[in-house]
Amino acid sequence: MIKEGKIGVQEAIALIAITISVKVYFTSPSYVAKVVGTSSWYMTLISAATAIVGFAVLCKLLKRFPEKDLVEAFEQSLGRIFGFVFSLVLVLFLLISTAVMIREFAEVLKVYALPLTPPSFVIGILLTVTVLVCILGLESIARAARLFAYYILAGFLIVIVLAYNNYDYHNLFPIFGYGLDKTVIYGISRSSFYGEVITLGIIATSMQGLSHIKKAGYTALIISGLTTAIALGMSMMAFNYATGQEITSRMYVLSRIIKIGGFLQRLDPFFLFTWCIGTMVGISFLLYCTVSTYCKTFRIRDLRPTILPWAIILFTVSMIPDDLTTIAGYVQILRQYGWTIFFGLPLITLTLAVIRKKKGTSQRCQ
Amino acid sequence: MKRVICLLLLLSYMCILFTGCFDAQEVTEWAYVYSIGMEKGVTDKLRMTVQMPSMKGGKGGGSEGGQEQGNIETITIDCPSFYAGVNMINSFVSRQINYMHAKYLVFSESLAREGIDSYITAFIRGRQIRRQMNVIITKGSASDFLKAHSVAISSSLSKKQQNLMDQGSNTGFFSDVTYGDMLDEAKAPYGQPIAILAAINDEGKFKPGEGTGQLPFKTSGDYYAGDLARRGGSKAEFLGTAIFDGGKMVGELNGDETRILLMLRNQFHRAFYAVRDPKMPNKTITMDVRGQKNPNIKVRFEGDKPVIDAKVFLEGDVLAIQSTIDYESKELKPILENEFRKLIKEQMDKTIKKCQLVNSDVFRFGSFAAMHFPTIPEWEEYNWLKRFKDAQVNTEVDFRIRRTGTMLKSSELFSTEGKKGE
Repeated sequence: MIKEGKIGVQEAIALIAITISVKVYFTSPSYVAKVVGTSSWYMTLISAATAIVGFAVLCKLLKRFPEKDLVEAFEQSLGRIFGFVFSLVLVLFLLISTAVMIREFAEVLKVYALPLTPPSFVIGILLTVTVLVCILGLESIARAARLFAYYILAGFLIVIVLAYNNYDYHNLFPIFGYGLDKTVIYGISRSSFYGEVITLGIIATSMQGLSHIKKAGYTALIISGLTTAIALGMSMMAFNYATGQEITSRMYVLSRIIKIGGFLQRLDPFFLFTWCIGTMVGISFLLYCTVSTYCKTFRIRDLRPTILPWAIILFTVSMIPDDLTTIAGYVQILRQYGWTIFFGLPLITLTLAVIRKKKGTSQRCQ
Repeated sequence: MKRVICLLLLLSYMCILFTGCFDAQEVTEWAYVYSIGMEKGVTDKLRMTVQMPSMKGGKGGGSEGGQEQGNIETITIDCPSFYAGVNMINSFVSRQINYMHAKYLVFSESLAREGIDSYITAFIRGRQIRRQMNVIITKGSASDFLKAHSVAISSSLSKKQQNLMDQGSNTGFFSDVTYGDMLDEAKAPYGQPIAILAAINDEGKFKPGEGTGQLPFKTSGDYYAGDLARRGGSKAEFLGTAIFDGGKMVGELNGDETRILLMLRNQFHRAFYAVRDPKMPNKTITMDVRGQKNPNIKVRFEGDKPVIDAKVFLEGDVLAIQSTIDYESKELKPILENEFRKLIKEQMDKTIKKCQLVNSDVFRFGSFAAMHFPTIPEWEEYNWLKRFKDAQVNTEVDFRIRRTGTMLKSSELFSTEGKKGE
């Protein structure tokens, strides 16, 4: 068994909420506006609600297999071979999600801040930091996440508040966007935006029992749901459904249009720090989860030697897409169909465990 | 030992990083553009003007090919497009052109009337272009206007640009409309875009000598940019609003009409109004008028026809009463308030009618109409912008005089003819 250390509820909340919410700084808000229009702010609440249901399934699964993580639950429920396949699918999906997130970050950063810097350099630097953090372990990532959470949240709220004079609530109308049915269906299918919550299953053994996992997961989903809804709603009020679909990073542009008198304006460089730190925390955690799942799948006891190779694989995968348009396309595929992996695998596992009457036993009971 | 090696490796790695990244450039390598001007080109599609501080570093320095006025350098070039023009300018300016701090985006009126949609939608892709730039339509050449504008009263052109835009909120004669506002309004069917109207005042309207004091007097905002009868000051004048249909300029509003526009858009801050004295028509009463609260705008539909009820709420202080009539009194104050209400209502009806004639909903009534439509396809299908001209608009003005300045009462003057005003 890998010794991953222990993390508390607050640290887990910070980790999950940051990993989920940081995506709002990238291309997703514009794509959502393109599909559902003015209703994007409550569409994401539908996604969050769906993710809560998905997380409840994971909790049921973890309850059935007490003191086990997701990989072990897969194995105990489905058997060694199918459990291995499910775990491997999860590893690959986490790898692709992380690679896409890194590349999306690098591309957006290149568009707005570093036009001459090659993406490989940005990704290389980011991964160097990520590898160092991962080597230090989950406890370090979690503590850093908790430490930065206040700063990231403050940075986010400052942008939202200071841009107040750009808001026009009329831009939220027509209220149902491109149709209520479309909003609901898209909201449900886009629940994978919050899919990272299932990583709590991967690090389940590092938490102090199921009640802590539940508390951390539900709270993180509520926090990230609210912050995402606020970001989408406010940026929609600042632009409108037409220009809102055009902008590469709506939150970044929102920080650029802050103007309160002659002095308080052009705040985007400050905002970049929040954005970069949030992404660094998110990517470090996702890389750690990828490596951890991989090692658990192959029963490798020490994950540290595998971190660097995984970082190199991650770098290579993230460099495969040609351009920002391709990346944005991948992001949308992941967001729209990612729920099948994030929430589908635990659901299938739970269903089969119930049918096959498989159940884990608590070591404490024994 | 292992730790020391790791530390050394880390330090050497950090040394590489600290030398600066790919995008590192010193401030001295940039030429920061204050204003960008666009007009129809003579030898190419476009004539572009950029205005920036001259790069004089000392006695040996000097301008790099442009026309230098004070510390400002104005470069004009014929080019196929804006970004191509930037490259062309860098063939004779040693510093790299950077328009991240540009405050004004100036288009000539002839280009605006032909349509500037292709320019405004194209610029925004550039990361240096900021949505906070003010968009200005100038009568005549944009390059001439910028040259006239560069003769700054203050030591810094950027400060002058900022301060001038702030004057809009003190006078109401022009709006603080930005490139972002224009883009948002041009791309969604809530309303139509506007831009600041400006011109060079060549002092041609000013007639020397002493006149007789023309009556009836004109209101202070009854002018378009470039028409003020004045002498002295900056030649560049900001007064009025250019109104658009999509990306094409279709009309202009004078100072008074711009104030009405701002009141209805909830962007009116403050203005001095000279109104006719209700009891002595050859005298004026000046008031400092402010917006009291958000306008109350309601849109309903009678069949397919839109009906708009617009009510603006204003308040003000009396600044000057030329007559000695005691308008401060409880009995006469309502008379003055009614006179002002009448004036604003007349101007409001006239302005709305004028915009309806060119079918340009610059008041953004559409954003209120959109609340009646459940979905975007239904809203877009209704085509508000096309139907605005048929809308019935009912206006109402609420105005209260809050204070009467430093005086509570106006007393009559005495002369050999007795009490004046009796």
